[in-house]
Amino acid sequence: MGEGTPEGGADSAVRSPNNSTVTAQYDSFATVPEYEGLRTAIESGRWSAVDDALALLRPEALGFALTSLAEQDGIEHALEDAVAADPHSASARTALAMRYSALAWASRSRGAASTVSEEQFALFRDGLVRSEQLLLLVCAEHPAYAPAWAARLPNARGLQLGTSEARRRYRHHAALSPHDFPAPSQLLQYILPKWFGSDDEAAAFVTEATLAAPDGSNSHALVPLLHLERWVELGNDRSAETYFTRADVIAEVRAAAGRSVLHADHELDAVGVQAHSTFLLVFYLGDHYEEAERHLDLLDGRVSEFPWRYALSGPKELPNVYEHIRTHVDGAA
Amino acid sequence: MTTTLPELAALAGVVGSATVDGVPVVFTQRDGPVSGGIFFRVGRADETLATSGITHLVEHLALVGHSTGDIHHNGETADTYTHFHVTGSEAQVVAYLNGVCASLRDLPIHRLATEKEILRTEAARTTIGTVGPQRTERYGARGAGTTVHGEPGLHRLTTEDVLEWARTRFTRGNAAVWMSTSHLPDGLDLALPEGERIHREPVTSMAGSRPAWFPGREGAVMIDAHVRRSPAAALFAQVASKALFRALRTEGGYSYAVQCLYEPIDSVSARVTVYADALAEQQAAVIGETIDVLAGLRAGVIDERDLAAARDAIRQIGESSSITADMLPRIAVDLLDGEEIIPIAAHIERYEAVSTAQLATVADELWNDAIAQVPGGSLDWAGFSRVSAWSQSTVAGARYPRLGEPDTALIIGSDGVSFVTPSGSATVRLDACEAYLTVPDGGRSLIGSDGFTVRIEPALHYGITPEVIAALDERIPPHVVIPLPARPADHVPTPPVTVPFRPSKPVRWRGLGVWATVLLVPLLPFTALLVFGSLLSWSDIGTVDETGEIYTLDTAVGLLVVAILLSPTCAYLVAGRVHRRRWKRALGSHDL
Repeated sequence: MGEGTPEGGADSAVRSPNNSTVTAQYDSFATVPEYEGLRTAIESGRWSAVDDALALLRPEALGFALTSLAEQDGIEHALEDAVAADPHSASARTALAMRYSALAWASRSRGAASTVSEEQFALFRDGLVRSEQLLLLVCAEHPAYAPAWAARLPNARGLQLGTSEARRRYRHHAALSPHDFPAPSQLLQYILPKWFGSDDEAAAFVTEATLAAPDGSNSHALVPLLHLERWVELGNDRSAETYFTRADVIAEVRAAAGRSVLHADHELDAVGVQAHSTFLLVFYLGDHYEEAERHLDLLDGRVSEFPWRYALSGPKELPNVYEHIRTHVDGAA
Repeated sequence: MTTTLPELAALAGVVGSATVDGVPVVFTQRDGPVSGGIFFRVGRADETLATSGITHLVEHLALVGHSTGDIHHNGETADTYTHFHVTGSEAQVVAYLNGVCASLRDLPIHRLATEKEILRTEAARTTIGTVGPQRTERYGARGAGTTVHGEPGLHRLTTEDVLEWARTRFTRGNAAVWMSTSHLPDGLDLALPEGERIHREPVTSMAGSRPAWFPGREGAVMIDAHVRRSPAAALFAQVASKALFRALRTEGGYSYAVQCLYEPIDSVSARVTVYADALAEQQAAVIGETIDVLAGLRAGVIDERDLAAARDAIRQIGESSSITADMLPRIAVDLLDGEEIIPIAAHIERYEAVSTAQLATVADELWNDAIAQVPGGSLDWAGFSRVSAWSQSTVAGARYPRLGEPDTALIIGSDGVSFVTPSGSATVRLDACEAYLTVPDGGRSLIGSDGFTVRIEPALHYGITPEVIAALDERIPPHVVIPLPARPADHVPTPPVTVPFRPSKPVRWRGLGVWATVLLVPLLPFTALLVFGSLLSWSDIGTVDETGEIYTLDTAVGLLVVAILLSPTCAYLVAGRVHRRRWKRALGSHDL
């Protein structure tokens, strides 16, 4: 979403916080500026052009671009055509597998396992199995193609293949594309107490993953992400209200921000926006408005759905959040 | 070195051969002590369940009397051959082989009972492990699948059976001898009974969708498949071993023992078996990595390091100075099996000529025929279908519900027997019954050719009377009946629920059902009233009631007599209700 684009709702919201008629929206494949070339290539209908456009992205961004692409409604038809035209393509098959997976998760619905009907669950599993079989072939034929390994992480969770299998898939991915943010976030989901792990396991993983990560890397955003998960886990407990005001929590998040998105080496691309937003949300929830505003300024109007769904019901609430932050900072000044 | 057998022409000058008493003998020099052996083309896969153990029994009997002395010797009963071998001086080897042949000519059959006991003890010590279920899923209870069940045939084999087996299988036409000597030793006496070569049966898997998976034991993953027998398949097993070891052990640290085994099973097929052990917490990763490695090989992504290591291993075998002598047992088996016999160098050339595309083809054959045994979870995500845990059909016949579990029952029909549960049923049809195991207390087990077993425990089912068992016994083909000795009392199952008594008539008559209620509703209060009334009014005897009648002793006694007469009727009806309820609970809604 670039400056002055008509659909730049969030952009306008930040610039004119008092204009209540402005509607905000999240970045999507259609609006992310780095995907301009990719969008043109897809419209051309030639998958070789798409491959060329993908080749320009660094590994972390490449994986995320395919994730965004797979969230496009109806894209499976174009992807199926692309796979039919080039049955051995790593990127086309991975994107199609991710689309099947996205459709499967959508059919499952976001609720807890107990709220998912038997029929939904069968659809969910069928979709994931379909996705897996494509990815199995891609990983066999192109073992060094990182996005396929990343795509197998949420599948492992949905199919409940076991923690050691999820970790194995992550290990293969990390060997090819270390210090990413999206892939370890997926493994983190697997080993959180709400899925198949524990808080200790999740915390140990975040420490291990961030310790080795270089400065400016998005992977440090795993630290605020883990805190968001812990906060969600607290639910309606009273301690949730004050969780992000705790000095130890904020100190950890601050240190991670310094090594990550606030570092000079950080690059603001679609994944960078997610990392920034994760820090922003934590500071906002902890009433640390000045730090929140710093991320807001650096984001320069870009906004990702992740991780706002932890706190907001939809993008329409974003202008209020932004206004809230600005008002408090202005008030304090 | 003189070679007289045409099959060994390619080894002329390297391996000598001769025929002694009609038995082919192959020999070549090796330094150190002399080894030698005699192979017979008969093994466990030639047996049925009902004759299981017969080859092993002959092998043991042939070695009776050879167990003294300090030379190293042994007998081995494999799937498709039986081998007696020894290491010592030339004279000791000759004496041993002559002794084995002499024993086979004239088996010490008086030792039959003792050797059967020894074999039963040996069988009790054998654990089936991961291989057993793998064989059952692929072969059922036939051929290589019979070994899973131990050697139950020992319980039915007669002296005549054993002598007949020795006379027809352990013959000069069905034997081959090898010796690590430079010449044909003097004094060999291999005069065995006359007989024909008994060729191997082609090995076939049971029908079923492949690739397939089934839940197995904790701690290991096993995958096997039939592929075309070829140097490419043999080399593939080496390459796969290296690739799996590197991925699962060196890099992943998930497994300790990792192996891919190649076994020729007949002249056209070989079985490739992949095995990887796993700690409980790494099982899922072992499954995933094994599947990914095999998928990679199938896609033709073959690591140069693995291929080089596999070729090196084969070359090293070829460079061994004693390789030809080491190959003698193999040559003897190939001779018996009618396989082409070529020099080692030619073997190695064939391995060298294998292309990566050929390896990928073997991997594809492996994948398409794979049966995977996994310790947990499912393999649907890899496109494997579940091996059916239940039989496809159920026989028609009389239904005998299981006590305490009315939804589970045995069905005994004229075509066979089914054990039905709410999840599915296991069926053994009489025309596909490989073994019918009987014990004196009435227990029966039927093992079907597809590997399904149905156990009949009369004590655990309603209505299985000795007459029912006797009627079933009569329908079983006699050649599959295996009478087992009595079980220890604590091995005989006892009913899980207390049965009040054995009904002598159908349940629906017992306690009159709804009629009991209809009768009891007026009868019970009326009788109670009479009893209490007659007792309470005892003191009123001699008084006049309001109608002017004198209440006499006769009236009071009369009332009491009527009440006493009605009471047993009530008691009978009440007891009938209670019994009926208890039976219905024990048997469920199934009418008998």
